[in-house]
Amino acid sequence: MQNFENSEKSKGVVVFAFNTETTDYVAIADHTSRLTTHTLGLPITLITDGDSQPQFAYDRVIRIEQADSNWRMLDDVRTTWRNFGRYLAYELSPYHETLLLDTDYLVLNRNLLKLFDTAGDYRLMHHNVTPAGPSYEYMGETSIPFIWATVVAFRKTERSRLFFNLIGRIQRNYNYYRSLYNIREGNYRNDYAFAIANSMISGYNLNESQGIPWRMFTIEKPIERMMLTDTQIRIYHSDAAVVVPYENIHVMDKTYLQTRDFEQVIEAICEPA
Amino acid sequence: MTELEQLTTEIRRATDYQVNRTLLREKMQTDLHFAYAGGLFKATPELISFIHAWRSTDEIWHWGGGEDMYLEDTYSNPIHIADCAEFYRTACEHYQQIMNDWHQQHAELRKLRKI
Repeated sequence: MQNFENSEKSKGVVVFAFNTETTDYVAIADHTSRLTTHTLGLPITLITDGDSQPQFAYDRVIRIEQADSNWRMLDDVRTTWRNFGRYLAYELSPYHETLLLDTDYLVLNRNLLKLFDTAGDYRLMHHNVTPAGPSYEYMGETSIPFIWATVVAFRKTERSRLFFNLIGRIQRNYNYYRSLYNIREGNYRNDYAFAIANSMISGYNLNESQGIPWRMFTIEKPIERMMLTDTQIRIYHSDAAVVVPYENIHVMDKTYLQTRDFEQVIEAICEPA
Repeated sequence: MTELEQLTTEIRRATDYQVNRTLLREKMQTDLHFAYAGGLFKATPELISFIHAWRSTDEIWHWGGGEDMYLEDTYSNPIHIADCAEFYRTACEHYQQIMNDWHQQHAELRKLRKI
């Protein structure tokens, strides 16, 4: 591991957003990026395609070709998912220290900044927790656990470059790596590619001790609405409600993230009355 | 509402409180981390007690090891702590701030609790 005492170099956030027929990921990125900047005070670079029309004042908008589409099952419906190209984050990030975030990740506190104050090449999110409890999932019955590519912190170092190049190689040869690692699902997932690359670059070790030392909080169930108090966020589902403190939240329900209610939540946080 | 439905509702409410309490603890465990001298530490009673004991030992035996030391951080790296007293103060303040916050938010959760 290299040592990076010099942290005065540029820091920023990179998000990827590519719209599909059903989901306006760029609009979601606009809202969540506004929240991220409000919370962390960092510039944000959006990586998107030539057609999208982002509304948020990004530090930079980088447009790339992305012809290929993937798919996944959401609520038992097969939907388009344009998740290729995440490995380009290393090459395209204009920052020396980068937080690579998914568009559905709500940054509500400054804990991620602590990762920039420590030595290291890249940090990954190995563990997840939901209101139902901690989850630790394998890519297949006889495979390794996957990593949540939702949040990645990295510095521009030789080891990070190699890591992202490896992810690109895994994406391009996914059928081979899928067989090699006995992966259950047929579609490409960044979570899997990151896990495989991390294992390979760490000498076929899971290397969890060098990951982000806390768990990611995920809300998996569909959300009807959110309500804010000074110290809590109340999240209402159709059959239950959960009260959470202001912590970073990974929201799986993309439909909710496109609602006016969510927009109002962001406004209330970023522009309190 | 039948007796069974009533019971189900009450159990769900009781469960909700436990879920919320667990999620609050999860967040506070994250918040307890702090960066220092290029390392990442978790402000725990064990860490604070160790630093206190280290400094006390130096005061008693005058062995000259009290001003600086090496501590293993969350990432299993030995971190040079140049000023033990400052590190101790930082860890204590961080711990106190998070625990106060936790206590306050826990009290608010208890107000919401119905069962």
